[in-house]
Amino acid sequence: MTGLIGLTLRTTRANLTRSLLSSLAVVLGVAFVCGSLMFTDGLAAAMTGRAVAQYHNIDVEVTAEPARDDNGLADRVRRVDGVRAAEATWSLPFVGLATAQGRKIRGTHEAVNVSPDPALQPFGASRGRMPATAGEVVLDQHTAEQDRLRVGDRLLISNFGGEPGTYTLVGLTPATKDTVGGAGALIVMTTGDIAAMAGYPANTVIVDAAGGVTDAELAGRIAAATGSEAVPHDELVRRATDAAVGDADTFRTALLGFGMLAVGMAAFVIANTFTIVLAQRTRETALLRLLGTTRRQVLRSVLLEAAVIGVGGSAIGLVVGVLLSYGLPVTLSAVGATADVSPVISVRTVLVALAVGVGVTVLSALLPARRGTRVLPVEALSDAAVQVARPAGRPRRAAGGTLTATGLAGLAGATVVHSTGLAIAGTLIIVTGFLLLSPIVVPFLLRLVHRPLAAMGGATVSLALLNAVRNPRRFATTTNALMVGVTLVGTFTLLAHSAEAPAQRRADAKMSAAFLVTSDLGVIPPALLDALAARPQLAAARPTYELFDDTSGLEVRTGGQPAGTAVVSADAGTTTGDKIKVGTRTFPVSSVTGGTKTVWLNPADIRAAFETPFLTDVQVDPAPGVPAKNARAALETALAGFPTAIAYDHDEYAKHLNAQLNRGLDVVTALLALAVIIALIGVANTLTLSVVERTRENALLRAVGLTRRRLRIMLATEAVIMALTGTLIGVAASVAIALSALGSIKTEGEGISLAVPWDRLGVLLVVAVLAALAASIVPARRAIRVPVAETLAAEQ
Amino acid sequence: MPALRAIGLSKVYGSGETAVTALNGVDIDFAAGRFHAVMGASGSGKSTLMHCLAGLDRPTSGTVRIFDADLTTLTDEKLTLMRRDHVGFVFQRFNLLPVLTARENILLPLAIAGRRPDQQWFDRVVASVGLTDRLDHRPSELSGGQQQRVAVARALITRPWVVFADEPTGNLDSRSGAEVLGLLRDAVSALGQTVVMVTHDLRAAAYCDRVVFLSDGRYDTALESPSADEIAATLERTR
Ligand SMILES: Nc1ncnc2c1ncn2[C@@H]1O[C@H](COP(=O)(O)OP(=O)(O)O)[C@@H](O)[C@H]1O
Ligand SMILES: [Mg+2]
Repeated sequence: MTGLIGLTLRTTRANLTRSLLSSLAVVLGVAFVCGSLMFTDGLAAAMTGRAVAQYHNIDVEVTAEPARDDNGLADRVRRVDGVRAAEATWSLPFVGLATAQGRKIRGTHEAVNVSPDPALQPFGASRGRMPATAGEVVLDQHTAEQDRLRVGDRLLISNFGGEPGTYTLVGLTPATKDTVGGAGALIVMTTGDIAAMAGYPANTVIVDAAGGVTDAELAGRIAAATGSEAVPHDELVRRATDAAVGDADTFRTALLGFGMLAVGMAAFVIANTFTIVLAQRTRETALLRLLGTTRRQVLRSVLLEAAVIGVGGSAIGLVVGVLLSYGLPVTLSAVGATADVSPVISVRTVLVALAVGVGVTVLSALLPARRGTRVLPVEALSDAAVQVARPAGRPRRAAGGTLTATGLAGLAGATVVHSTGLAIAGTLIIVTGFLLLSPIVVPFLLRLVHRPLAAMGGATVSLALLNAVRNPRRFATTTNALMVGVTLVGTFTLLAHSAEAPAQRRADAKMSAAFLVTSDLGVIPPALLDALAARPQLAAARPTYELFDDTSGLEVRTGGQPAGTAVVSADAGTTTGDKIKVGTRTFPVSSVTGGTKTVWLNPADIRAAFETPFLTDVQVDPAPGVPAKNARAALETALAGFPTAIAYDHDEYAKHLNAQLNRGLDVVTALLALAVIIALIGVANTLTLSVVERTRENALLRAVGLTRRRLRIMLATEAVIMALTGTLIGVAASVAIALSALGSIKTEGEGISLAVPWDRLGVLLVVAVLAALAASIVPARRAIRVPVAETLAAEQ
Repeated sequence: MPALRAIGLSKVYGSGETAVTALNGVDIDFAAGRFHAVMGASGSGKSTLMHCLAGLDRPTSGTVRIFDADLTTLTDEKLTLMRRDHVGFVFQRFNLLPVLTARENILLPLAIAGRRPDQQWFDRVVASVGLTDRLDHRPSELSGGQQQRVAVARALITRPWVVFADEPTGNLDSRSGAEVLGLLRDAVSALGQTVVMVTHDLRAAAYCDRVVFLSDGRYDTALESPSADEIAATLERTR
């Protein structure tokens, strides 16, 4: 057997250039999986570290029952024997931050408080000092650096919907905000300040134990004395660590999902490579069989070859994965996850890399290997240099046809019966059916366009088209991988864009005035209305309120009808002429409209009926005769004191909406694009292998007068044909799937219509064509370098 | 006992309208330790006969025996092992694996079987085919005649019961062809091998101890140690 292993290794090395591209597919797949693992391991470590640091100096944490509006918890805890010191703590997750000059710091900021007692401070200041008296705050270093804030600066800080206060920055801390809620600053305040800003009692109290009592003992005493939950230090750390690890796990699972996709694509490419390479080695295989190698031995040696490629690909993939894991935080910071993560390379990751790389290569090679080694010994003696492609069998046609038709019916049916499940099932069925049918359908489609294209492009293009479909199965497998990748990206992009109506239109719908004042936190302080009213350059502001009314069980929204009347949705249980009680007032119903469980009131009525309605945004127009520019300046001055409020004009608001949408979209698209890239590598791969196979033929073409340039063009055209076929079919499939999916969602009133992001699809096509052109460069060079006379003279 | 026997051997390719009867009830014995040639017009069934005799193809009916073994009853696995251990092959072309050196190609059947080569036998075979200083070359670095000599050495390395050669000189110039035929002749005379060679070359057949003629898939006649002229005359008659 050693002899055969030697032969296998030799063959693998001899075919190395041929397997290079397919191992590149393995490399990318493995790299992504490993990169994800290393990054999320690092993330888990960082988050765990943060979780532990968070409870530094905290011996016991007491949590009040939410129902008890308890102002005296901290005092009662202090009276427990064994408590040296205790402090009530708040964590306010939606806080606005601006400089005193009104420059707004964007983000979802979190405010926490610290005790003046250093023994109760979980973290300290790296510059300046911790807040000691009212009006002093500390910020995290990262935000300070990014927004150029210095110790001594004056800041405006306001709670979710509340009035802002002015504070002095007295120090910076290395601690950071919990990144889960999105990027933002960590604001550290004194207990008195935060209690005033929060407006409600703290529900946690942290405790520093006196000497001579264990944390667990003390927790027990506190729980007994106060009736609240008290958790000792170790348990706090354990819980936080578990939560951190769980968060990292969730994130890892999501990343690995994309990784699996990449690996799946790599499987396509590898399977295709082995099919082609084994077809080209038919004679060698037959000779081996003829000389007495059993079929099992041949199969084993092909799988060994696959394993060797897999090991190589995994090793390189691991290295690329390390690079990737350092690059991933950069990508992710685009969505606001500012993770200071150093990737962790563990033995497990290395093993996973090997398992994935070798596993996917060997498994993908299995089917082609079984087929490719079913060679009869006499085939070594036959004159046909290249195995003829088997036509698609009848069962395959029948199954493919049935599945495609069923899938189409499912997609169409989903829009009629409004079943998203049916749309998903239809998608899976139609893709499977198409994959089966592709060796027939794809070449057929190409033959349809052959005549017009050949008329335009001449003999070179015609030849390229013929070459492309010469082996329909190979062509179809190559384009299938691309099709699947493009379908994924396409469907995702189409759905995401359609679900969010075009920003321009949404801005139109939302804005009834020249300016819109709103907040990333969703709520703005009502005092802002007074500030606006004080500006003569501005017309009367039109506020929008939003809240849920417990009395009627309805959502309350701001409507444009005259004061004193209500408009209700049909399912609210009243009709025109009836009276409806909303909040503390009763209104006659003036009309009934669409929507679910909602009542619309005039803004003044909402203010009258409710004590503290949520002000979500304000529409502002310039006062009559005031130029927009002056009005805008006045508006900004009025808003300077409100850190959370931001003013937009129509264009700015549309851009803001778009940016929000695109940020998330870009990351997912980038992750999905990996699948497309691997599929494009597959195109390069197929072309390279085909050129090797057609060495003699290309020499013949050159001999009969095809210039080098035209040979180059011919191969480039062939690559572009493969890339465009896969991409266009993929785009068509995603349009069908997106139409079905959108149609399957039953919505009140108008449904969601398909919005085609032409720019993105255009980019996709251009990328595919450019990649194909690039893919043809090396094979073309190889084809051109072949000496014509020698090749033709050489015996096979 | 003959080394090789074909009994009532028939081979039909395809079926129905398009069926081609390549062999039609052929009975031939090939004695051990002799150099046999199989001749006949193009399409008379020479290659088909050889493929059936060597266990590369299954006859439609009839039996093939190599010594005691009835090839027609063996499974594919057993047939493969039979070829590996007891049959040698030399073809017109594409005899060698391009990635292996001459030495490795010669040792390939043993490597497949996982057997260690008998160094003395290896040296003797290599010396007899005159390749001692070419052993580390790849096939692409060897001339056609040298490649064919590597193939002969490979066919002999397992000391097979029978060596089959299908037009082994068909691709060679006359001098290289003569060398290869001389090697096969020596293998029979000096090493006691049994060789069955399909050829349409009169000079090649003249190296043989016995020449069997096929026509239209049937056994026609046989000549013992014929001269080139005799062979030419018989060929003319059987055409
Ligand atoms: N695989 C095959 N399929 C169909 N017919 C075949 C096949 N191989 C050989 N034949 C036919 O069988 C006959 C004998 O062929 P062959 O044994 O190759 O003759 P020879 O080697 O004497 O030229 C010919 O008519 C040939 O066309
Ligand atoms: Mg023949």
